[in-house]
Amino acid sequence: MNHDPHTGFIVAAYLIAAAVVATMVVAILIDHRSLKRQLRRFGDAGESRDARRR
Amino acid sequence: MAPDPTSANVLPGVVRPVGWLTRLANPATFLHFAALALPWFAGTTVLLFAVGLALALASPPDYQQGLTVLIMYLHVPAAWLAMMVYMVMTASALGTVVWRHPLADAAQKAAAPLGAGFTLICLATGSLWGKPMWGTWWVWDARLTSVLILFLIYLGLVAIWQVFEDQGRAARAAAIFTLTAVVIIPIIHFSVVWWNTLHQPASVFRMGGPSVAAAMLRPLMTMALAFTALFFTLHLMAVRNEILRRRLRRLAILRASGEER
Repeated sequence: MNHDPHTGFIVAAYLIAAAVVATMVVAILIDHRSLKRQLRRFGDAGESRDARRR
Repeated sequence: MAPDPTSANVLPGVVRPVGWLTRLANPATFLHFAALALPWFAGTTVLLFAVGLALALASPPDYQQGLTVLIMYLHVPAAWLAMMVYMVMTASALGTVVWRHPLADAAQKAAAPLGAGFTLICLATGSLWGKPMWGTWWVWDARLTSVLILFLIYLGLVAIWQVFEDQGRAARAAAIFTLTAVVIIPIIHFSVVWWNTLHQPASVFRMGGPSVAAAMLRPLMTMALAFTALFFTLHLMAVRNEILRRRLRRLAILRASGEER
């Protein structure tokens, strides 16, 4: 692969795809942590409350 | 008192879908399902990506593209997902318009940024493949332009959810926009048939079977499954966030009304 003239394009494609996927994952996880923290401030147990209810 | 936006029993008189779908569409049931299913979904996604990438690296170079074919294992699944996510949003928009179900709103809202992400991967990897293969980063041909329009539609939908303060109005506006703009999906799919484009026609889902060699089809389909699993994992997580956000909003309103008294 090191001798392929288009290695740079291939590596760039995989890096961009990884960056976009990582951004989506991290954004959702940060949002989740923030929501859980705010819900705890209201004294709401969030998902665990629903799990117990069932 | 205003109806509970996280309850499945809002808007009396509205027809609801029946059976397991109704039960799963209850936000509390959905949160329970998400807690159980997410580790399995995430594990499957990681496994499929590991197998897909290993198969991709072990696959032979294409006789024309050489190793640049490796970009196809990202570009093609991302393109499929860009369209599939829009169809998920269309189904959710129908759920909003026909059944006015709040979980359909949440599914719609959660899918839009993910659809934009997959479309961005499709456009970026396509451009990085186009430069060495076609000699250009971009051409305004029907396929590329219609996918760019899909990307702009996703951004427009994300913007709609940000612009409206009333989430019910945002849901209806987004649903109508989604259902109207769904016309872009057949345009993208048939663009290579209806117009003379630089982009090659379909080579996997076509009459007469795939024209791709088995050694390349295996990593391609595994990566497509991995991208699909990734979408469902992220969508599940994002819908869960939307349910929590609505619960938070309801609690804030209840506290504010309690303080007023």
